[in-house]
Amino acid sequence: MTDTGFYQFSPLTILLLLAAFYGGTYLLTLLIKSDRQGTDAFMVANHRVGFGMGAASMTATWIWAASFYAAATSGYTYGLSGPLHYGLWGALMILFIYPFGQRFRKLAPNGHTLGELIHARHGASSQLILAFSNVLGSLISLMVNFTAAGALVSVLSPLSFQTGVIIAGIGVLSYTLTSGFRASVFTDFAQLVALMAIAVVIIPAVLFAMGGPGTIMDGMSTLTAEQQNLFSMDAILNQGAPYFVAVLAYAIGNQTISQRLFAVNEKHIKRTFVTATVGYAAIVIGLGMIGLMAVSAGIEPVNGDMNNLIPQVVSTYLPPVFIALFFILVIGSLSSTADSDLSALSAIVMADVYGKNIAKDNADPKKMLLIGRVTMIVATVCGLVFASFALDILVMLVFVGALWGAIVFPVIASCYWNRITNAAFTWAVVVALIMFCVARFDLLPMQGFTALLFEFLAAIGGGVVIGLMAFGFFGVRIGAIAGVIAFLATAWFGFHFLRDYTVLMASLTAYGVSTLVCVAISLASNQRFDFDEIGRRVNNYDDAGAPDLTKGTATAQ
Amino acid sequence: METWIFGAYILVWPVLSLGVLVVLSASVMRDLRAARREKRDLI
Repeated sequence: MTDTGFYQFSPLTILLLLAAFYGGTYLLTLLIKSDRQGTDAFMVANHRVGFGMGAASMTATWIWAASFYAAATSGYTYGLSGPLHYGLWGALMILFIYPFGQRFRKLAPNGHTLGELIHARHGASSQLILAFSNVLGSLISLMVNFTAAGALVSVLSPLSFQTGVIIAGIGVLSYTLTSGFRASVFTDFAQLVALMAIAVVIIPAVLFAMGGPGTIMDGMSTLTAEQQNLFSMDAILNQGAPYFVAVLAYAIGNQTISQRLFAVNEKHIKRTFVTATVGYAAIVIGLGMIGLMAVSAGIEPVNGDMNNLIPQVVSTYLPPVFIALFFILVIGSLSSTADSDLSALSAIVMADVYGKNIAKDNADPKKMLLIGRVTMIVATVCGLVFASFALDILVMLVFVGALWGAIVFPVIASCYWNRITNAAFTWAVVVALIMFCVARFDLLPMQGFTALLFEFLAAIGGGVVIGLMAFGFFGVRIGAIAGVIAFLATAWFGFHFLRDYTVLMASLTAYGVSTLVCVAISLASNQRFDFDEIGRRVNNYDDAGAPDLTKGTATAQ
Repeated sequence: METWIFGAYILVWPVLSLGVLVVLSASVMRDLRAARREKRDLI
């Protein structure tokens, strides 16, 4: 242990741990037969990923390094309910997308990206908006994960931040480059097994090393009333609600999820995503409890940095072997997400950029595979450079979150309502982004009529969020009823109130405005769309002889 | 809050993780056996 409060491994130990992790992962990928590699296999594993692999991959992908740190921070800040307000809503992102995923698969059985489906429905501008938001999201995710690797290596050893960043980048690229998405899914399973096994051991180990439930309970008495309350309004309004609003946005805006929706065997989509929901919630909420235990034990994070909390607790209370396990836990979580981001980025460039906009559906499969691999290399280099510069990505994150929020209604409505037009999709996103920026960055003083207008738009957004969630599971009638009730409730409680919660109001405004604009422009048009066109326009890129899933072979196993 | 309830609130998550781990492992083993039987790739 050093005077900084962290246990320090020797450089050799850390290098051996990293070599064992990435070397083992690389060896695993050698089991994948590369002679059966087509573009379909490279992007979506031929649409035939089984339940176990699919659920493990979805869980491992959704758990990134920041999941642990943010969940623990939430537990430390908001007390008893904090881990729930991070982990539960993150888990629901996986759950709420699957009914829409089943619709995506029905419309485009041969699809690889959501962008392809939107291209078939609307054309290039809507597709490229979606693809752009996906690319930004995955690049940010890559950068954050490589940054987390660098931070962890520099905290737990004398090695530099840059060393950790570079090893993680090269390690992830090495095992993903050859087989693409298949390697990502295959290694996700192994990484998740390790991750879960370690989490199962570490959480009770920390609890009992701190003195057990009784000691932690005694420490709870020093917390504020809000921190002791399982239904804390402070936690709901500042942590839970903004995150809840983002549930559909993160799922729609993330190609790593839609890639798995297109890859999992169609008949297993529901149980794959339900199981992944439970798995994600269990691991992330469980590790978030370390934050709750830390605040109850009166631990102050080193240098006031909440990201130090979990490494600090593990270093303080557990023997070196557990610290090594924790190291593998974080490296496994960030690597599984990073390899999924590389696969997602390569699929977007292969299908959305090259396949649909450059080759115009006359794609050369060999060239396409080359483009996919080059994309992975370029994306890794970008991730490494951005991570090494330790850029402040807050503004970019805010922007991407808004973009995802703005596309939710247009994307979902485009898959169900035949009147949505390309202009409606595009203008809905543009206007929603502008209104989001006005609310989020206080470009207009939020008082008087302006504040009431934005609270009204946010109330519509609240109705849209709840309405879409209910619609996914229960259909139009229940969705509409839930949406109206949510609108009335948000309006009732939100007027003269939401203006004080800028993040929440701006996010809801993005949903509300994009819905209003999208519906208004669509109703003004006489255009009608035949949804069967999507299945005809979204095809496999491999040579003739590849299975045509529009003929119903998707579920044949 | 009772101490045992608080303990259960913290420990239920690793137990749940273990349950999911068992379900996923069993399913992948089943898929692996089926793939070998049908002489095709697992993924």
